[in-house]
Amino acid sequence: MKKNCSKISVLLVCLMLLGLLSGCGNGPASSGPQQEPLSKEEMVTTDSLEESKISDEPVTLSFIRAGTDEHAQAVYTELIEEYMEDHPNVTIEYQQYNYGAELETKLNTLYASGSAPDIVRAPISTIAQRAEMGQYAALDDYIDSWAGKDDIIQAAYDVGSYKDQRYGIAINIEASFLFYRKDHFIEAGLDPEKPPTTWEELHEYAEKLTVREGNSVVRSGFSIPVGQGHTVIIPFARQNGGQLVDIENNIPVFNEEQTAEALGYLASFNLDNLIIPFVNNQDQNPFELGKASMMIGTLSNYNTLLASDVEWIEHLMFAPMISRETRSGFGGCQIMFMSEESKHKEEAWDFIKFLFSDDSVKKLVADAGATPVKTGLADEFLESYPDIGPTYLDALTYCEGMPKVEWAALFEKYLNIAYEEAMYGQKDAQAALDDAMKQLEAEMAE
Amino acid sequence: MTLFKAKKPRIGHERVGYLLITPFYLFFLAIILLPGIIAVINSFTNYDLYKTYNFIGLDNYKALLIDPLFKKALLNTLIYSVLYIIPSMSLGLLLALLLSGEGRGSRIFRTGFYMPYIISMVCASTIWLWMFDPAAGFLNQILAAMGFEASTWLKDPALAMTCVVFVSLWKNLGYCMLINLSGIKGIPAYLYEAAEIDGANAFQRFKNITIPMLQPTTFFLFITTCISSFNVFEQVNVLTNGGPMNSTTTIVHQIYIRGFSEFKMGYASAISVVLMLIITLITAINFKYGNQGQDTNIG
Repeated sequence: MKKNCSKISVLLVCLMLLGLLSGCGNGPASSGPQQEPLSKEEMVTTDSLEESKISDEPVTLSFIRAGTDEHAQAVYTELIEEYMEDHPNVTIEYQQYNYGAELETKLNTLYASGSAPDIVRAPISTIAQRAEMGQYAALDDYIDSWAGKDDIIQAAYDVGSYKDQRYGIAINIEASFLFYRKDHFIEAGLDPEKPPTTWEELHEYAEKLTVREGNSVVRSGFSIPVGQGHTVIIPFARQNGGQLVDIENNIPVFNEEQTAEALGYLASFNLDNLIIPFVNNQDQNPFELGKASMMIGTLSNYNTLLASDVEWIEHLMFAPMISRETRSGFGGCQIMFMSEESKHKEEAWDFIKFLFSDDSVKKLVADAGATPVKTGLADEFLESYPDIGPTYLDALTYCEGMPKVEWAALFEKYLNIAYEEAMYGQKDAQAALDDAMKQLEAEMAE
Repeated sequence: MTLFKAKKPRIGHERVGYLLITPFYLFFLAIILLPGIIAVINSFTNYDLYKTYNFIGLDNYKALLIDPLFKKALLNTLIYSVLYIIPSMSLGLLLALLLSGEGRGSRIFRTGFYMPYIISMVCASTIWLWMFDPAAGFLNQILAAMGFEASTWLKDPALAMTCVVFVSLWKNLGYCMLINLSGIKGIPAYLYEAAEIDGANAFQRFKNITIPMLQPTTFFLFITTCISSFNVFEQVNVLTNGGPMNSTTTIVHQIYIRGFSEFKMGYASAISVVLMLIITLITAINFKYGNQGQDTNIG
């Protein structure tokens, strides 16, 4: 039975990752005509040719990674050391930055000053703008001559594609879903086997789970940020049938009725005094501090909780994202890119290939909670994550990422402004979205 | 008839002097003046950090006049300056007066108050970020232990700027104390002795001796504190990143956001030029109306 389950899950992973693809961009870009698998001899020849291009001279590569998760940092550091041991002439300078403004600012400064990093692991939101600006190198030629290219799942290529060119390969595909505390549910008289499934239930559960001292919330029922909340409003808007971006016409449409309703719903959690305020990518989520009963989390959050050795880990449970018209969650893609300006492209590509080797991917899956982006590794993923694994794999089927548009950064900025204004009750949701939309359109027109 | 003919001063005689000050002026030229000039030139362009670089005349300045975020940043900077300058100068003076004695306790307290100044603002802000945390911060734990309701501190738009000012005060109070202390130590003791003999009480001695004698120190502190207030950035960036709802964004924070996050280096340069003009104006007013040249007769 268990073996059958494993087989099914392997199949599921492949299908589900393909499902995610639809949400991660404006349709899959062509990865070129399917080629016949190479024979062993051909593989050897191809790899030898690739090896011959790599210089024996001392080379220093700079590698920037988006994300500051300690687990992932440890794994990447280990992998870099391993690579440098095997390639004594290569030195890799590794730096990591928080998502959002910190990463964008760093990349902008480096590219503008002519000190572009050789390798970048960045989210999908960066691809359109940086590919258009000629900062990311197209990898088609490298991928086409790579013997191991067929071992990578198609979705990993598709999310890294833009306008029919492959600029990157996804090394991790995140999906978010509901984390909740069994002990808090029991304490509040709720059945932990029946987590909320609708908007109404979620609000009702949050009210029951919230603990206050006087007027102050000391434990929030459902923990959502008051700032930088685009990763929250996007899935709730989609759950409500919102489109946010008209990809075909390349225009934002986030002031639509469905998104306004979703934003109003989310704002009610703060306006009804049900949350402890925090800002995404700036503060720690109160849930991780044991000060909340439910949150929207990812595998990365789970690993952080494991690492911090919280005593309530045994009470942690997982459930699919809430649904309304449809089910939707936020899915982030971490993609390996190479800079067009890099003076050591062959060496940079060699390191990227190393990160996609079986051993590296296994290590990233087991220790950093990364997605098994190579075929045939789903079993190992489920072995590493027996509790959270099935919910995560299920989430991959309905999670969607940032729209792959050139103005993704502006879209994120103005959506966050509207989100914050609505959360603090400065404007009602529709007015906040309308104002943000006007400002975005004005800036796009510039 | 003169026995010795005086040496005629020659132009170029001061060559060694010029040679000695050359490194400073080269540094000044390359690191301060040149970037300043480039920023002024960029302020008339639509420079985007990469390829776009066209002269657009006064468009950036016109846009500034109608930019609500710039106006908000300007107002916030003024609020910050008022909330910071007055307490930092008055509390700095008070501490200096209290700790001007030579006892062991004074030395310990002086060191204690000065300690925060030697750590970087980023570190200090990070520490206070944890202290202000609404979920598990030290301040809320203290409030809870005392039976008070928790606060949301930096997440409260009405309170966030006060928290930022508080962190700046906590960090820089020791510096204001030290400068005032050095001024107080420079006042001749016989002035106080003479005043005491004349029957002046402590308040009269403070009013008629300490305050006038400290005027140059006060002037120096006021100028430097004004400039640092208008340049406030690190604590804003770490503690609030300008939020919530831009309630703590300042002029330099806007320069950073516009220049490095939004690629609008021309626009950011225009804000820099405006900031430079504001600081120049404030300094000029201070020099004109502040009594910077103290010639109190103490003979």
